[in-house]
Amino acid sequence: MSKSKKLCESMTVRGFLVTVSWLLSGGCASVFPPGDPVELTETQRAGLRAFPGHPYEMEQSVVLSLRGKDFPGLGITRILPGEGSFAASCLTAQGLTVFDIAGQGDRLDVCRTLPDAGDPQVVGQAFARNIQCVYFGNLPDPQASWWRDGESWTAVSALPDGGTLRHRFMCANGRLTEKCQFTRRGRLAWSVTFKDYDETGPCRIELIDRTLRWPYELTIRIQAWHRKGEP
Amino acid sequence: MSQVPWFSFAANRRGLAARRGVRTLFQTLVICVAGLLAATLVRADASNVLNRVRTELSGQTSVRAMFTQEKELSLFKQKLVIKGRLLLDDKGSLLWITDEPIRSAVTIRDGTLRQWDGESGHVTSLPVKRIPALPALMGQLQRWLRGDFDALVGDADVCVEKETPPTLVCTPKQEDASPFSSVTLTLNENPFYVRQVEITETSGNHMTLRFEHVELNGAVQDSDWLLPPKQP
Repeated sequence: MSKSKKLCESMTVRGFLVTVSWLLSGGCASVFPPGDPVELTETQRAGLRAFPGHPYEMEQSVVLSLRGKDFPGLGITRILPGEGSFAASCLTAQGLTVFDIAGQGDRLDVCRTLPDAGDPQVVGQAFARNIQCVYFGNLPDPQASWWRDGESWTAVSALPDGGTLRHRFMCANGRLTEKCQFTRRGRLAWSVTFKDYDETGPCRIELIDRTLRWPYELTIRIQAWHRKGEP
Repeated sequence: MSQVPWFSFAANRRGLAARRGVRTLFQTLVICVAGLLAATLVRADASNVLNRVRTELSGQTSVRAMFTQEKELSLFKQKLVIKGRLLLDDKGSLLWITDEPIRSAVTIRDGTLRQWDGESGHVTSLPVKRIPALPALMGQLQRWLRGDFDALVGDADVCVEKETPPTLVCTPKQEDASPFSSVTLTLNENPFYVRQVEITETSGNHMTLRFEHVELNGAVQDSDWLLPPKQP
């Protein structure tokens, strides 16, 4: 066997091993979720839900986990679903303001952050994006393809940048349990899990954001809900 | 009746204007002198009160207290209320426990910040220099509680709002460089301690911190600084 042929075979084997290890490590995901294609009826679609459709505010406890360290804090968030606008303030457990942000869609109208937190615009935009991931866009695109796997429905929506957005709902009650976005290369950009529902919405939310240099997790526990304008 | 020439009228007007000018100048001077005098008196008062506060508080070896913190956020109508306990000693160590609405505790000792999250049970340790803002705030609070105003007076104008109970208002000399636009300290007499701290942030957020069940100069054990903290 010639030297060049040996080298070629060795590179093929190495490439195969790298690909397998990448796939096993969860580095990318198939466009298709597990399960079988399914069509949802209008009634089933109407029963899908996560957060209230009216304006609301929440008092929350928040834990930011970054590089193996946990930072507990408190927050208040206001969501106006109809306008697509939001406002959020986050404090350390000692009452020090970490950030105040308010905006609509991708636009930030108010952005004040703790000097230690880094560039206010970068930090503000990151948290604003997290708010968008958690509280907005919780119903799949009408063109989404649907899959059923056991007790869950998964909707896969194509994104303009070539990535995909997945929503997973419980078949029994239509509650959103997970939402995640993959890049066009199939890598997980972020994911949100919604747990411990009460009559208003999920009371425990776990977000993993891998879009910045250091991936981080936010665990949000809703302490109280208020309809906007109510005490 | 003698006829008044137009020029004399004009001269009169000029004289009147000149007299008015002198009067205005005099009034301005009086106001300036009074202002300077008042400022000197306020400074003297502030200095006296500060000296008194410093003397009374500097002898304290430890402070143990419960607190209620009300935070008014500029973006929201409702207040966030935080309740907890604190301990500080004369070696510069601080324990800050939050009991409500979340359970959490932080200690700052020997240049290390340790933080406990009551939900996960995790304890995180960080060198103070890695996150300067929180230790800076805690350190500042610690100085106020101990009556160590020397650094504060360098960076802020301090005036006495009330003598009884002593109430001091501190405003930063350079507001751009400070996260606070004012800090008001209200002291308790007999025994002497800081009873309330009010902070108005440049963001418009406002915080009131009230101390209750204050125990001064009690014994401090090494176990007091352990995390998770003892139950109340």
